[in-house]
Amino acid sequence: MRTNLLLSALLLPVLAVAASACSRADKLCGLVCDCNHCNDWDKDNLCSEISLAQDVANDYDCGSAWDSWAECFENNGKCYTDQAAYSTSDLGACNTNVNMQIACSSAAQCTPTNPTAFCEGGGCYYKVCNGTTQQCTNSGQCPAGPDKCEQVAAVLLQCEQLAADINVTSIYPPPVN
Amino acid sequence: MMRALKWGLGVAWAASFVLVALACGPTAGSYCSDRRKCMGGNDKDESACKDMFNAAESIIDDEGCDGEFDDYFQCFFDNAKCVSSPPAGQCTTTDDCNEAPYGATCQGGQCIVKDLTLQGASVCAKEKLLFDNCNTLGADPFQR
Repeated sequence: MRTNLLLSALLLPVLAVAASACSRADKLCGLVCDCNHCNDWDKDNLCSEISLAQDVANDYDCGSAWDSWAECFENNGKCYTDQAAYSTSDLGACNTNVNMQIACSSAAQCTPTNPTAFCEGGGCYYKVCNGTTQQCTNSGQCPAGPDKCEQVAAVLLQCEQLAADINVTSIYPPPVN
Repeated sequence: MMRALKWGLGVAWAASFVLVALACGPTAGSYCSDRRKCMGGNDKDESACKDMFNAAESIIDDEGCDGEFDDYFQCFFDNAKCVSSPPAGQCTTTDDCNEAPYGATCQGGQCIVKDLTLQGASVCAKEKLLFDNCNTLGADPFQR
């Protein structure tokens, strides 16, 4: 009985630490994969890669910098459902219609002027990326904004680089985004 | 009778060590230790090397390529030499070697990468081919 209690006392903190260490990496890859619709194989690999990034950060005594990055990734990321992409950048959206001032009843009347144009409500339109004049047909063609976690990522990299005696930039950034 | 029994036990004891030695090939620990002797680095770099190696090895195991990898790894470990790559930029400290490959250090004003490398196309070629054919995900414990 005493042995059991002693074992429990020794094991519980270890299990608690292990559980919290696993759950952070698992949570991050869950966020990405729920959005990106990864298959099980890809999800396993992504979870392993994120866990590895955490392990390497711990090797370099940069666990708190990794936690800050992970927290940023979790709190500032957004799932862009139309693109099936989880990102901590504001992804561009191909969602602004530009009126070509041409009346139409079918797309064929618009496309000679602009091959991507379409006919809507009796007028010809083409699409541009939100906030720009860049023509587009899908959001993947639109530029993304800056990474909101760039700064904490740089702090993590700096921490690892300072602790290392060799160049370790290629093991960074964590393999997400 | 007693002497024969002791002798028999002694032989069995020694044989078990030989068997264990034969069964145990190189490990992440022995590879990363040798790599550190070649590349440079500190204890933390060596720990990170082991973590990265084990992670790649785990993917290889999941693919079912552990047998092919063991053969290739043994051959690599037995034959790899410490080789310098051509300089990858100028530097005053290793921090200036951020654009250089993993493991670069600043030596004599140049970013230099020294790493364990197989010399010659035929060295471990058969083992590598069998491993590469199996390892469709391309996990490579010797890189980073």
